[in-house]
Amino acid sequence: MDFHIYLPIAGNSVSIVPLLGLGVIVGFLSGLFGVGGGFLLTPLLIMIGIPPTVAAASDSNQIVAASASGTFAHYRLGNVDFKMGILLLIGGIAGGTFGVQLVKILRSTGNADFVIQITYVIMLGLIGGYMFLESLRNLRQGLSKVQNEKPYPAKPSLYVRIMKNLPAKTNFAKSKIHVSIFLPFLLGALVGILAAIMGVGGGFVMVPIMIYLLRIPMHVVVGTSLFHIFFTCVNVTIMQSYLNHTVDFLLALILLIGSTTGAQIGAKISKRLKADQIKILLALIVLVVMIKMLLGLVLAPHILLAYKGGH
Amino acid sequence: MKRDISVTILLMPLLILLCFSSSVTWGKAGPRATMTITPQRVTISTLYNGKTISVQAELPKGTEVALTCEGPENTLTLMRKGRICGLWMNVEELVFHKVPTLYFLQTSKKIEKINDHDTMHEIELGYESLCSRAQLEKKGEEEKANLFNQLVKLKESENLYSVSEGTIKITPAEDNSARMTTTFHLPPKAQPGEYKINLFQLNNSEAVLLNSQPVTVEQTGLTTYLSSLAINHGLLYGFIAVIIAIISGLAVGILFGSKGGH
Repeated sequence: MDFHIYLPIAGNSVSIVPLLGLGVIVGFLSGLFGVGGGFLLTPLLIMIGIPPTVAAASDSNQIVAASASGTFAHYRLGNVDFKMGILLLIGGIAGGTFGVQLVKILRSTGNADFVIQITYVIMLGLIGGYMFLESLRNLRQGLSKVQNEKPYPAKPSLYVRIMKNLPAKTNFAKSKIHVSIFLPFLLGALVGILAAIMGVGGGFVMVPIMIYLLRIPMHVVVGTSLFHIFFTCVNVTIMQSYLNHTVDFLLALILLIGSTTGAQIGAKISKRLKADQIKILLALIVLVVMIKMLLGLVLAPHILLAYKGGH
Repeated sequence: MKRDISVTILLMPLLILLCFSSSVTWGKAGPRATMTITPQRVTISTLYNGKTISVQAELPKGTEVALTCEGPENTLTLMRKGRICGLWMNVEELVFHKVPTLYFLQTSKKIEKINDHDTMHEIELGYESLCSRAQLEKKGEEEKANLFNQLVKLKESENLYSVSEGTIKITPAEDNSARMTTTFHLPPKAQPGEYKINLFQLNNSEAVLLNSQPVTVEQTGLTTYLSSLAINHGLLYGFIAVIIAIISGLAVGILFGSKGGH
């Protein structure tokens, strides 16, 4: 049976079953890796005929549900560092506000799309490549457990020295680190700027930053990242509804039925996997998205016009 | 002679009546045809997935016809893709005016078979005629034609534009007339509004309008309510969407937790 539902804001009808399946897959990735999944879902929604602006905004609405479900699941598992999450969020809001202004300046110079797409590909390539190689090395050498227990490498780098010298240090019990409150704020701001430029929630940038720059254990990273994404997407959903009227609630509702379930399954599986196994899977997904984007940039498009909107 | 005049006077009212009845059927300015469209009103409800529209018409025998379905004209903002440093990306914003949201054209025969020298453009039908009507900001005619061609490809990829030659069936009927039947599928992406169905007679070098009727597409029920809420009360709509998402997320979380989770 092929049930269709008409989406009033998207102005199109879609088949329900594939949409539910898409929700389950994205929710699963969300629960497993602590990413929102917008970078994956938005292009897929555009592919099935949803206008780009509606796809991006409705995606944020369904991420609210998936991240609420995922955060709750990880909270029950003891994987959410609320103190860390709130500091990252404050930094993210500040960085996001600055990033939006930066995009405005870029748009006025006419180079916005070029900068956005190049930043996207480079960031995805760097993050995915580094995570993949590092996790592969650890899995081969069986270092995963040892490294997760060590807060810093034996020989402190410049970054570690700066980190140690920052004032207002505090203890993050869940994350098992003792760092300055300015560090999560600054890193949150960096993610906020990148998220504003790239037009996505930034989960796939936030997760590696928490792993490599804040040195938080992988399972706490996933839970805390979901907590951060939840608030980011609540803000985006309300702002998009108010300013652009692009949130299709029916579309989000079908997606979230699948994604909330998927997020729970992902959260349970994440507990059973080793940190490096999770990292290497995330790295592969990030690299696949990067290759897809790169091919889109290199191969000549079939149609030389596109509707304005989306990312 | 007198008899002839009296016969003519007697027949005059009959001739006037005949002329009058003829003008009702075929029109003063040109030929006419009766056309029936089913349905004439399309309602978009929650389970809507497009609608098949059926068109029937009574024609004079030997007539070749074309049928168009045109959506309301609007302004379209598009991004043109171009190459920068070997990479394809959006390079320019284009604003088209007077572009129909939907355009279907069907004919009873291939145009070149009706008249050797005619083209769609010459009889003012098809994409070229749409291009002539459309306006593109800040561009010359030649560039407009190239870009409009890309716009047609984009619309065709969404099933919103199509040209199908030779798809209309014409069967002979009684009294030197013929019956025309065809159907087309109004896709779910067709926006609410008034669509014009035009039936043309294809002559040697022109398309003569035989009949024109509207088809109204409108939202009803839940879809109307949600659209209205999203547009007129955006903030409230946003809060409701977020609250429902949170409740759903937590409900599923509790459900999973109670099923023997950690």
